[in-house]
Amino acid sequence: MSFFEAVFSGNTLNSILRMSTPLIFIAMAACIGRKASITSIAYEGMALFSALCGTLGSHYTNSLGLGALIGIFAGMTVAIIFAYFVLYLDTDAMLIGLALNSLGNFGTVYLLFLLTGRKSDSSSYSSLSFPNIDISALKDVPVLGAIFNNTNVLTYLAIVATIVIFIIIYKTPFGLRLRSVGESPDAAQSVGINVKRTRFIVMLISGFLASVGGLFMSMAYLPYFTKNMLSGRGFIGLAACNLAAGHPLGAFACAVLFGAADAIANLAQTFRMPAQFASMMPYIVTIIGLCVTGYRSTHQKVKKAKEAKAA
Amino acid sequence: MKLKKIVALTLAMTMTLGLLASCGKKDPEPTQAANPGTETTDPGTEKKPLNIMMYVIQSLGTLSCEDLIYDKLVQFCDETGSTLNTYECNSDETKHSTTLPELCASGAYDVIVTGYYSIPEHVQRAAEMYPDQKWILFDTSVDYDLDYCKNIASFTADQNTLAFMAGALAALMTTETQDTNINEDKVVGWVGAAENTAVNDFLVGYIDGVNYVDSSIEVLYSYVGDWANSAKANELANAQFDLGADVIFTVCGGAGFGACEAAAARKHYAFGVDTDFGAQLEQNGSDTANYVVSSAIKQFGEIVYDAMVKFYNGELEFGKLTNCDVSTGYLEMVETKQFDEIVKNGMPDAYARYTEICNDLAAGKIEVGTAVNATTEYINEKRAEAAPF
Repeated sequence: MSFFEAVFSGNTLNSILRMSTPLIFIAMAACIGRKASITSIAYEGMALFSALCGTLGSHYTNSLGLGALIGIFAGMTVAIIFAYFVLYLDTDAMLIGLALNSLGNFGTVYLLFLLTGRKSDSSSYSSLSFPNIDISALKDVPVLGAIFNNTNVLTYLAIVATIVIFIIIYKTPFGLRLRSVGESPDAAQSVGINVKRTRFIVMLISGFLASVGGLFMSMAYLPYFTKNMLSGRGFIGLAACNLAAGHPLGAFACAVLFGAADAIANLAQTFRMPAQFASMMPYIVTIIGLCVTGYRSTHQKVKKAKEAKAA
Repeated sequence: MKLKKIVALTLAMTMTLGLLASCGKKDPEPTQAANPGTETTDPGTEKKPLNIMMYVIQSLGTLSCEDLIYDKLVQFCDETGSTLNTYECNSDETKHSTTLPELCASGAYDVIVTGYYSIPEHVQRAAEMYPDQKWILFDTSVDYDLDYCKNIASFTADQNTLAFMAGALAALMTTETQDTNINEDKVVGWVGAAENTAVNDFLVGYIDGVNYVDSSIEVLYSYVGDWANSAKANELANAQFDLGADVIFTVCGGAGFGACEAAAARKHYAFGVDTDFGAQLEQNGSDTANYVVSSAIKQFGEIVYDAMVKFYNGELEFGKLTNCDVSTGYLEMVETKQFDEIVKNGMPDAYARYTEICNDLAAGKIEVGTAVNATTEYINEKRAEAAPF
């Protein structure tokens, strides 16, 4: 099989979707946060806590639903801590974000050690996973059939989440409020919008989405938690959101692009491309993307300034 | 207001957890009033319980070689009434240069056990300052031309030979198409952590092992980039399975579990490393363990245990490097239940040839390439041999 053939095989397309799923969830969390102008980098920490608590929760309760709930609760707790510090204690969002990410990284290992006596993974604990679904109607469709063959239920949920977030931000009264809070908090306050409460609710939604992203890692991708299993996906998801300037559909596309870069890099290694170069690819794509958006936005600013002058 | 209370409560809980975490950290200070100048046990004198310090580079509970050693040291202490202290670095390389001299300065420990590739320099520096301190090093060695290294005993094991066994086994398995989990393609895979001497030594040995059996078999190799990204290991393994691999050797610590999951999902085989992956996975009751044929283990637990017993009896020779090859029995591809089922019973011809190769290795009849002290050119040459020829 040639490299080109391999890239466009159903298996690779399927793996792109799989690798994009956590990125999509986190990108959506970041999008809604960004629209309310909250600069959170703590998604990795939220996702890690939810990944650990979800899989162990399902082990102890022997129920997928309860496990997932415990995981989401854990992830959202981190989001609440973040929101409390930023909104009510007026802490620098970057600092508390960093702190919570470190807490996620090492706190999960500590919690894992307390509960299982292990520090690297929970592989010796039986736990439940979200099932893969085959949509029989799609099976005979040439390309889609291959892509969606045996896809996890959370991957479909990621696609649904993108649409829902888009609708929330652009088509609901709440979305209007959160955007106005994001663009001009003072103006929003002057028309009677409770800025803090709006941002708090946004952080809750953010926390929920990041947590589902975490659950995907430990309850779908793999059936157990391993130390630091997010491995920077929280930041890549954030980058996807920033590339699209916080637009959910654009962020979705960027997340899939990053997933694709990663999947193709993995494949490239198998075709004997040096590992270091292959691992660089997702980041090169990020930098190129940032250059493009950066150029576009300055270009627009200049254009606007010119127009203003002309007027 | 209710919200505030909930938030305050969660915060309080998190902080308590944090405090607990810092309390749990082990202290490098001596815990017992041991004799500062405890010299080694001379033959003839009464055997004294030892005070042992294990200086852990990564952290315990991560299924690495260090866990094997820790377990055996605990056993040793139970048997001899010795005491064991540990200091965990959690892979923080910056700690070595200050902590090791401190441990020596305390004078509390009869012997310090530590190892891995990054440590020799630091041990040498500490030994220069405190030449009387006894050391047992594993998986690495120091420069014995330096006269202050006379109290260091080093132990290494030929991981390249171990990987050679894995390679030979994989190569023999990939043609046994009567097994439904083996495909027609003559391709095997290898997933490593990140490039370092030990990991590359595994690769070089593996490629040599495969080519020894049949040089027309292709070896696919990929690196995860770290020891943690299990999801990436899973994807790398999947990519190799897509290209026709059916047996994959994982050399990436805990991330290797990701590759094992891929093997189970695609109904192919995987080898674990460092600890018995199959036994580990069996405990969670999933099907995955049935696709983990074997695990390549350097039995440093046994090696260090035996050295400690010798030291206890006053027989351990310091100031030299002991290399353990296959003939010592310290290197093994564990023959688990799954191994018996899949290879021993399922592929008798392959098993016979495999045993033959292992015997030849033990007898020193086969020369295996190594990445230790090798140039980049040499490693690249070896990598080129991964393609069929």
